[in-house]
Amino acid sequence: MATFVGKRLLLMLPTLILISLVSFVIIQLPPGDFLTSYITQLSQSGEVVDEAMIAALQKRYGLDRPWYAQYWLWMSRVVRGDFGQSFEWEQPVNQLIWERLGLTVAISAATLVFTWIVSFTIGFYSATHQYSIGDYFFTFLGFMGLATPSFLLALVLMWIALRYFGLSVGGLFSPDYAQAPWSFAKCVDLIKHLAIPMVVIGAAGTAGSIRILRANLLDELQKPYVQTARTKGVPEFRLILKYPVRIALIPFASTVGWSLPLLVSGETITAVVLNLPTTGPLLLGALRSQDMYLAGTLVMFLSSLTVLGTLLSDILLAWLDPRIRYD
Amino acid sequence: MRFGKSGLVQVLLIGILTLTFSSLCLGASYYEAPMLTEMVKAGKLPSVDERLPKEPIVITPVEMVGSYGGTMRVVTVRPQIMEDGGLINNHETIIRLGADGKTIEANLATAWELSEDGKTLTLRLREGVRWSDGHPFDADDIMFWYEDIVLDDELTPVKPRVWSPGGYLVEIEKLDDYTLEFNFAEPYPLVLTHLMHSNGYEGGMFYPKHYLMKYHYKYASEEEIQQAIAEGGFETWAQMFLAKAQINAGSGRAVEPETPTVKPFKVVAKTLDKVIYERNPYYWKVDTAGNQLPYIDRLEVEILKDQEMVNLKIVAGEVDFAAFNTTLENYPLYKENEDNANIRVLLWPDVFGAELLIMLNLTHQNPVIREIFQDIRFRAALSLGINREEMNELFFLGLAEPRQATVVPASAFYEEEFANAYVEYDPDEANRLLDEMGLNRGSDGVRLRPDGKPLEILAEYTVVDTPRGPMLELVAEQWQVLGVKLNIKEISGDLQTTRAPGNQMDMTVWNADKMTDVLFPATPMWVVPMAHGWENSWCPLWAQWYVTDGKAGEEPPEEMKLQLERWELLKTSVDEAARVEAGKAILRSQATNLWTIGTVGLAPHPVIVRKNLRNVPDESLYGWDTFWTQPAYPEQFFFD
Repeated sequence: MATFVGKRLLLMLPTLILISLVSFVIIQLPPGDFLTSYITQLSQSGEVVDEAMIAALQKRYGLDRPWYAQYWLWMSRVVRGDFGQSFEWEQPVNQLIWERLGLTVAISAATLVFTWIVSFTIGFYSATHQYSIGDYFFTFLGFMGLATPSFLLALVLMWIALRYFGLSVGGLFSPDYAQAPWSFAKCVDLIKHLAIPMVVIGAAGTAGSIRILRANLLDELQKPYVQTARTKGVPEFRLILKYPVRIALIPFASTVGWSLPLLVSGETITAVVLNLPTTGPLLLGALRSQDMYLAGTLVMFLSSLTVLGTLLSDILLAWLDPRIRYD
Repeated sequence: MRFGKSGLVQVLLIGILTLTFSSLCLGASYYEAPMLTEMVKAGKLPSVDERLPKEPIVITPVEMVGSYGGTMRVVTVRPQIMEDGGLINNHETIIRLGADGKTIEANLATAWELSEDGKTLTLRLREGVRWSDGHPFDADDIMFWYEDIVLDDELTPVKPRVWSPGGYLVEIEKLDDYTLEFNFAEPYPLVLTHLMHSNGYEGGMFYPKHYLMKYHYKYASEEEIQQAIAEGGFETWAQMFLAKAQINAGSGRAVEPETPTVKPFKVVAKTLDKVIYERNPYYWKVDTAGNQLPYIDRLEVEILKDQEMVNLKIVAGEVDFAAFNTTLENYPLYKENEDNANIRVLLWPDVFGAELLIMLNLTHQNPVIREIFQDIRFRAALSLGINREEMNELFFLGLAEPRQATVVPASAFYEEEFANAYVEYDPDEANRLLDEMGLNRGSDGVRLRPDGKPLEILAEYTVVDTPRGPMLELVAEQWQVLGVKLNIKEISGDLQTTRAPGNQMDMTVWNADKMTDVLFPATPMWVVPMAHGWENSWCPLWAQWYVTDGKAGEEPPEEMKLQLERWELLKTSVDEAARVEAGKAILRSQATNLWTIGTVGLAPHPVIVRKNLRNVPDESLYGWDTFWTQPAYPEQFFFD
């Protein structure tokens, strides 16, 4: 086990370096650079951008150098934990991402827990009560959840809130707490605001997980070993939990890895619609305006988390599924 | 041009001094907001009389003398330019536009005088104006800009064209703490425009020296500089300094809370989705009753992530002022929600010479297309083939004006015939012109080019300001009657930035701003090949030829060179009549040649105002030329 993990960790390093290089190049692939999109913004408001200004701006953003020089400079600083300046926000990338990342993790973790609790309970019920009224009801609900894009759900909820309660949903804090330093009251305020994004973002995932758990459990429930156990007189509830559920959980374990990168980029569109101060919209904006260092840093985070998540999944699976060998 | 009808050269213009009532000057005490009184009592702030200049600007309120208090909530989707935040916390320029959008008023300067030959400008700054940290604002702040930023080759590798008439950079001399002398190599009456409007997003001609010194290598020690570079995550000194210096930048680029400003509000906090401003306790303007402005305590700019969210916030009644992202298309939506959102919807006339300006690429790479585009009969036919009434009804509720691309009627260069050239809808005449050119129709009704290929034009556009996509679709439909096939493609701003100057487009569209006396003389870019930028696809090669002094691009034809000569005259002549004539000649050439094709212009722009927000004029000129709200004096808005 230890050598397995060690080997995998060593392999991660070149993978990450390669990913950072490729993503840096891809970010720069579209025509122009940050400057062109910045000039776009200036011109949108009527400003005439002359050569003097362009030259000064190039100097300021260091865009007069070839991409590999920019990459090298950036990487040599990343190693020291300095991710450079965000052009668009004119702030060090470090300052920009941490608080957003925290909130994103809070939302995503809450959503993940919500998804798992709800889907596990319902999936379990549906499988054990196949073709009952309850099963049909949840199946219907599940398909609705799967079929509705989460941003649409967000829009509908917002419309209802506006039409019937006269308020606009969005954001993560009440105006009173937005600037306040972190405190217990602020955390409570945050939790109150988490409910809607949690439900909206979790809806599709929950529906999907219900279906997966139900199908897997149904498969297992028919297996001979379950019947053997039953004939031996193991109590029904304990029996299902101990054997078939363990097998049915394997898909959950193997997807844990994917939910890690989703923590950073997850549900960008929903976050845009709900106006959540998370990293998704930040990444979207950075990619749009070719804000290289910010986009590069976020993509680096994404890929590190994916690589790390995959490893985590593998370890979890190895532990959960006795059939897996380490070589 | 209206920089003084009495001849702008010889007269010493004393702006608002006449408004400064003697009763206020002579020992009368001023009043301040309660929140500041508390700070004064606590000893954190000098008294209001000490904070204000000797002769503060007196602003006559639009409706009435207001009362203090309240928080102004606005939203932006582009925190880089702050949008509505900047419309409330607007630019403070050396001199400024008055309420009519024409007269020049004193602002940071009390007097400005251009010498007889137009080569020397003497500027007198208002004594006692202070930055928001209490430090005096004086000639040193302008000299810092000139000597330590413009003259520094690292910070300013290419010297600004607007400050280099005739190709020689201006020389600026400090005469005393409040007086400066600008010497130009050539007569430069246009300098007044730049004093009034140069304070754009990146420009600005004054910087708080006392604050920036610690970031400039000339004044700071090596360690201080290195520390600032490391803290900000910068790479070089120039990067660090230019980022720190970006203070006048923007109607409101959110600077750090510690950076001094002379605007009505200063940043006090930035959160993930908000920038919060508080009144500048040293703001140097008062109302007619001697109350220090602004009336409003706080300004909160919420950062949204999507333009549609702005409309949601408006109809939910969660903004107090909105104009930057509103559109006339959504006017019915705003109106419908006037009562439950507790808002008023005002319509301010905009200053666009054309909401949709059509630019055919006259320097097209393909010689066949170029020949067709350069034929005036072709451009005339296309203009006659546009049903402007229909466009007006469909997109502007009939409230805009069908017109050719030319200056606004209030301009000194305006002639009715310029606006009426080729604007009637006459498809028959248009078809006759096209037939005369020998462009015969193919079997599918689309005309054929001389090389036998169908006459198809690709219009590429970027979504900004006006409803360009839908308007272009209408044009395409109307041109079908002429047998001209117009294909439409939306492209990103980045593509526009490379394709237009790269001479890769058939056609693009823009809205014709810079059509007032404020900006037209300095930037007649829609009719003179003077700007080689991304908005310009009507003559990229000619413009490139001009801006590179003939090193690149293509030599323009005679008439274009004449346009450039006329513009030179307009910029440099000190004879008012000659200038007006030069400007008119430029526009006459446009009216006869249709270098660019106008559609409808002067549309009203919806401005959303909370019902209890007072002193907002019912009408004010809206657009970049007027800094959107400058003629409305947003510093005197207040909550009832």
